[in-house]
Amino acid sequence: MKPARLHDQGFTLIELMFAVAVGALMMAALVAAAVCLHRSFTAVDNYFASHVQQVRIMDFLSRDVKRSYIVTTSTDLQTVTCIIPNYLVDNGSNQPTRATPTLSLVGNKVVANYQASTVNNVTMTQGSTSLTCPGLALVSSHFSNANVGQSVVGTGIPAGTTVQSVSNCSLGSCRQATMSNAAGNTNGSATVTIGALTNAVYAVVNQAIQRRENGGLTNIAASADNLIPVTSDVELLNTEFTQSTVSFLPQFARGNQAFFADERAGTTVFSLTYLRNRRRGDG
Amino acid sequence: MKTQIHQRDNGNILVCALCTIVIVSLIGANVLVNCITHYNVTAKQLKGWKEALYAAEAGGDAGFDEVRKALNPISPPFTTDGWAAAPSPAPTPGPAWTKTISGFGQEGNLSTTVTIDKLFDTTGTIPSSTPYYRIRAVGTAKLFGLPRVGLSDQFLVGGPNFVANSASRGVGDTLLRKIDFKYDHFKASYGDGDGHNLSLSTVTFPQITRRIELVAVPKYFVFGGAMRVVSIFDGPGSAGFIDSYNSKNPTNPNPSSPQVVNNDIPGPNTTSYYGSNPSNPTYLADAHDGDVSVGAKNFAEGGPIWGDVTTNGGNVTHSGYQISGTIDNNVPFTIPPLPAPDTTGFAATGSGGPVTASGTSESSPTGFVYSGLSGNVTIKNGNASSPTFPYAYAKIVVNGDITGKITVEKGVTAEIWFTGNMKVKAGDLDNQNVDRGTKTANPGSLGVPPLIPPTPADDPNPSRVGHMKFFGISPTISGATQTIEIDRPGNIFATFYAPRADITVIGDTDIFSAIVGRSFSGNGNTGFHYDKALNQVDIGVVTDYQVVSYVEDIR
Repeated sequence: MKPARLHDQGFTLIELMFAVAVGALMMAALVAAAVCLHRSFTAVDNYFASHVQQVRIMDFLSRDVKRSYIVTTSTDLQTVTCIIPNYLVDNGSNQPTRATPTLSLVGNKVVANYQASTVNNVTMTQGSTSLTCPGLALVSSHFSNANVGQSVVGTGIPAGTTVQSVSNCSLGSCRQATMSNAAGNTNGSATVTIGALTNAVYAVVNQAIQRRENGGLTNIAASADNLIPVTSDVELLNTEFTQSTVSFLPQFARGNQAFFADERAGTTVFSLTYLRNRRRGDG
Repeated sequence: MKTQIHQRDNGNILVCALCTIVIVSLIGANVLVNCITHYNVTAKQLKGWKEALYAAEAGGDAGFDEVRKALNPISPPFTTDGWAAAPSPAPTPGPAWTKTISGFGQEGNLSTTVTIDKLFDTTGTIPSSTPYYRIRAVGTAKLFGLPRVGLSDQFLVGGPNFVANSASRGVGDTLLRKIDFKYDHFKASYGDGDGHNLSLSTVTFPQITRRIELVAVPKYFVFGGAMRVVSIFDGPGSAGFIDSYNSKNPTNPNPSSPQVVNNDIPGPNTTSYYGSNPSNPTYLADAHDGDVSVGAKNFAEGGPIWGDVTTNGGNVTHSGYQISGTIDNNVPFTIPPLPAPDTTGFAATGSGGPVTASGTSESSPTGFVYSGLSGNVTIKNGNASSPTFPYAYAKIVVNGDITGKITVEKGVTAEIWFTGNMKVKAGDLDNQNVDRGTKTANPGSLGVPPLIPPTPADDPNPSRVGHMKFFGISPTISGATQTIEIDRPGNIFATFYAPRADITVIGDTDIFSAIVGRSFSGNGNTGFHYDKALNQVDIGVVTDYQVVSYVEDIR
């Protein structure tokens, strides 16, 4: 048998260059495909991750709105402030207990408070920090020394306001209180709720959505850089609700700004939540 | 030999291809794992979290439904249907009851446990003798899907997880959804919710629990709709209708005498009552609150009803009836009997004649007692000449039947309580008040200065109808009923609250009113017009319970 000599034969330079060129093209195509595939996978992964955070933010907000006394939104609709009854008694341990409700009258409507009280027929003046409630303490609700330092909420009172001092006191009932912030409007028969209230604020900070409960940060979204919330508060005669959306821009979106806007709009998640303990407008 | 050389070359290509496939597969697998993780969160855990709240709210509804039975003296609540005394430590001061409902939802994955305890108010907001109820419901949803993401399962009794300080509760979903994969985190950290009975309890299936608390307080308003009858409703007349108006509405062009006008919205050739601009939805809405509630299935309709209708087991539909509002055939209710009022200090009179009222508030009226009312009675306004408050309140108790004419002078608000039956003509119930009785200026005259203060106050009672209120004192004999029969001619401006009375109206009478009774029958072209201003009338009896607070325990 004649030995084979194929392995002794080399390629010509042209053959080699052609083969290298074809090989390079194939490798380039393969690398490009791998990179595109990776980008696509990453974008899909990011899409799902953003969607999960989107839903979580919405659920946090809906839960807070549902149990709020008062909800306000900023002009740009990206900051939401919820005033929530303080149901849990923080007794300094890891086992907070549940507060017992107490009843109050707001107009002719009975409401239940947790670690708070309601004062009716309060007079407030726009630009003034003073609250007054005339009448006899025995027949109407008044302020007390225990209110100093506590939160005060009501229509026209800025969120985060506290009672700084009380005065004109007799037998423990005080007819005047001074707030930490000035009232936003004038009302001769307002109703205010005073006590240990929880203040939850949702805001966009450095392109991330944050929730702060009484100033403390709650980590509701690990990375929310491209999430945009919009919440509007709707007040009707006997009810109040919020309509919220959270959207994000998918990573694989390409094109001009109009296309980006459409891509973002396509990710919008909507939520409508009613306040179960509405206190606004009672005064 | 040639074959071996080629095999070696092909092997290199195969290795390269395999490596490429492996790398791409790893990327893809990683993405798929992430996607499945997110899918588990969004589809399974989110579903469980939301359904746990639905279960808790279902428990709250079941509890509230049981609380409403407290109005029924025959069948007291918390005694049947699975209710039992709450285990120790029960909420204080108690007593407290509990019930578990399970096996509902997808494949029976949901359950709820309700605990209700009775409280009494010490602030004077409601009478201290009347209880209100705290309803706590725990909703549990069994978690479907793979338990690959979520919380640490290393709970310790009294450990640091989920403390009241929000800063150390966790992050993201751990903070929000609190899934129990192996152990019940709530029992481990908080026991019963107040730090009692902490235990490391193993859960049978991965689960999510949510807890809500409702507060149900007694409701005292007696006229929340046009008509509320316990057993039978047969009305209005075939040529009549039921609608509503609001005497507080300041734009009504003639509030003292509401106008009947044609109203093509929402139906043709119909009459209704509202303000000066029929196209204004605000006032049109005032016309469509003539709600009718029947505590049984017995419902028959003649003319249209502009409002909502509820029955208990009826078969009322929009197609078979002329009803503008919503229909619900599954609304049970009871109306407690009305006891006789305390007549201490009331003046005893005969069977008729004029009396003068001078009481200045509903809580301190001038009282009169009749053995029966067969003659004509005029209730005069003893404060009519008052420059500041020309209004008076009277409370009349009739220990017998009413058959005579009753006149209520302008400015007088009269409550007429009776034990017997009532049989009168509509015109015999003469209510001389007006809607939104306004202050009358006293500008003085030449040489005579105006009085100080020059203008008396407005009538505190804005409703003409609300100035004449009849209350049927329930017979103490079991099964005994009252009758109220009103015949033509004339119109009626008065309310009727008589839980054990069968009420019959005959003829072309227009009734401006609100009625609570045992049954109602109206024939002919009897029209009924409910004044929405009556929805605040309170006679001191508990008519229902309502939920005034909702909180969620988010631990």
